Amino acid sequence: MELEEILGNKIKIFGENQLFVVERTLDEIKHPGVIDYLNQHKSFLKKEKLEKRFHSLKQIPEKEIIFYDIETCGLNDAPISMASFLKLNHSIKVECAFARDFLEEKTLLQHILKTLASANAVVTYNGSSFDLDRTTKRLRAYGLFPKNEGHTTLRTLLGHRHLDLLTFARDLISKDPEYTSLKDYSLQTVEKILFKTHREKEITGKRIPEAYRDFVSGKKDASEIADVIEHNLRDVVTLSALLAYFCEAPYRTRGSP
Amino acid sequence: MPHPSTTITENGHYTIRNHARGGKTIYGPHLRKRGVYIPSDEKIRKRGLKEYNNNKKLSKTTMTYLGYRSLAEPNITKREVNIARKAIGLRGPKRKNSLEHNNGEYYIRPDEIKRTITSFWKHEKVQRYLNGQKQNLPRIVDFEKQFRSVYNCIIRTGRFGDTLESIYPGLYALLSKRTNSETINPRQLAEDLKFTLYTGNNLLTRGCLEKGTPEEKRLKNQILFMMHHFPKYRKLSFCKSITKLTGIPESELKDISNGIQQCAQIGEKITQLYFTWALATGLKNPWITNLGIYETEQSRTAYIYDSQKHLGIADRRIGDLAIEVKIGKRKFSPESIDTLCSKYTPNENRWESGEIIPDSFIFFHMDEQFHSLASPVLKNVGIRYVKKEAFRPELINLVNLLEKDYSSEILDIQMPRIHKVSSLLDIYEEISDPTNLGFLMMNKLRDRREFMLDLLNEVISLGEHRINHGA
Repeated sequence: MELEEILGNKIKIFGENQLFVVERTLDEIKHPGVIDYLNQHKSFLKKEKLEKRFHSLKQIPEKEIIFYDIETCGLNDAPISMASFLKLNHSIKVECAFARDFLEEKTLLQHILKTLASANAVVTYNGSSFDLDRTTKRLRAYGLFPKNEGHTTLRTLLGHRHLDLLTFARDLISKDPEYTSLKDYSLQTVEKILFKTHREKEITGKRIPEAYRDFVSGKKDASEIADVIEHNLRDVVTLSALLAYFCEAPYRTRGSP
Repeated sequence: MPHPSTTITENGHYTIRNHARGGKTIYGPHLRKRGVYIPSDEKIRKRGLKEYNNNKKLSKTTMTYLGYRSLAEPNITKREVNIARKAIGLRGPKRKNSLEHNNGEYYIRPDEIKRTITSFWKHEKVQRYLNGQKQNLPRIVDFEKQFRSVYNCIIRTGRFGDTLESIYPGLYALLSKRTNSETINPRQLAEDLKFTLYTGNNLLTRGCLEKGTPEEKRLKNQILFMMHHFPKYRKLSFCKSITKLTGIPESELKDISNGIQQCAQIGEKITQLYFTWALATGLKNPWITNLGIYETEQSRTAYIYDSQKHLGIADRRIGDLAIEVKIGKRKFSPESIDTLCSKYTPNENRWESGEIIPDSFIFFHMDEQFHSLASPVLKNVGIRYVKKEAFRPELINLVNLLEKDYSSEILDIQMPRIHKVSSLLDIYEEISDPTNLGFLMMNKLRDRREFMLDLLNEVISLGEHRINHGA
């Protein structure tokens, strides 16, 4: 079965090459607990409230906040297979740009660089050590990293415009006696305890690189990689919900999610 | 009963009996019970000086005396020759200088050295050069060649730079063009290296010093200098020094050669793809009129060249024509041009199977600047070559044809998946562009290279299938 048939996507033209981009609205994503929370607490994603909680966001003009998450083909410097963006403006748009093979990674990286560089704020989860770091490495591998701006990494390029939610999650959750037995601070674990939701029958993180390689080499059909794309889209939605959660935290009475 | 003029002093764990005539007996741990006697300081000094004058080094006995003598000094727990030497006022061994004979080596007086240097580098010219005016001064290498004995005499006793600096301050740094420790900024060097490596330049080959660009040579010299003069880098290999500087793993640096090999294969496959599909589709090409099967088996592509002396392997073979494919981002050296000529001059060499090679084609999938030296020479000996500018439009024609008529067939390939036929053209653009090729050689793009090879192999085998079995 082809990817287009499963996902019902649009293929976006980006640059000279075609880039496969899956576009979704919030309602089209199956992520019940988190979407419900996000719909209820959307007001916390407004500029005034965000600024109160995250001082670094004070310097940015009111435009677009981008939530960013990537999936890769393995450890170290392995290629990036897809990147999801949740664009928060007056509305919420979610998209996943996907490299259908290793030749399309370059186009994907060009798209990522263009999107991130034009964003007013970029929100990631562990982006400082993983997402932005890996993106920098891959951009450098293709010689795409902008050299004339005096920055050596995406992190320094974004500067105060980047917000890594992992530090906030660690800070907030570690102080709460309810969560002392937490085994890790992975996005799914945090999502599970904060939004009381569980992703059923979802592909595991360890399987993702293998699933991508199987897809590219043609060993397996597109159904598994479609699951990975859905997984990546859900991750980025969780990120936005997490930001709303951290904004809401000071107003919340103890115990209520 | 000790002699009335004998005094006994305590020095830490050791007891020292000072005899009336200056000698000492030392008692203490690790010394024999009845103590160790050493002569007076004056006697040891005289003995030492005599030995220095005769043999230029101290004898074992004197060294032993000095060792025990050091135990009489305060705060000493083990024997130290140098401390005793200083305590008794004995000078150290004389350092060699250019005035001394040593095993018959030729020596030159300092004033003679100075005269030689000032006659070689004239004062007025040097002043003009130091003031930044245009002035051609001879190099240090020239001095070494012309006055080898003087040069050797200088470096035997120290650095050439020190001698030259003492005569003309500031000249050595400019003349040698070598960086010194003050001018090397490791952070800047690391950034330069990263940039160079990320653009695919290879600093790890020996050829880099001879054939590399001036920038590559400069970087390599700086690393070598650091390895000799910076304590942190002294024990490291060249590769490890780069790793320490840049943080790029050693494995990745070493993998570049593998990358180059794969890129060369991609270049060959692209050419093979063109001729295979040209034959399969009946597309006319401007170079080979009787297009035959594109042969790749080593048994068919082996040939004997250089008056039957050497066995070579051509990249490909069409009929009796030899095909050689060249990619890269370096200029051909005169030696490699000679090799190409001896291998591919028409009607001079034979295939291993016996047939004469009537004609050869060399495909340059690279910018003209890299093969500009080679192409006129090849033309003179009758070897035909195809430039990138000539091959590219033909490949575009073929890809357009494939996209138009054979698109469904090609996109049906499942292992690996092909999403657009124009990818074939993208691969060629990447392999023939020097900057992109540089990146493609790196270890980080291994997946990309392997994918390209898989894809080309599949498309070629589809073309071969069409030739053998028809549509």
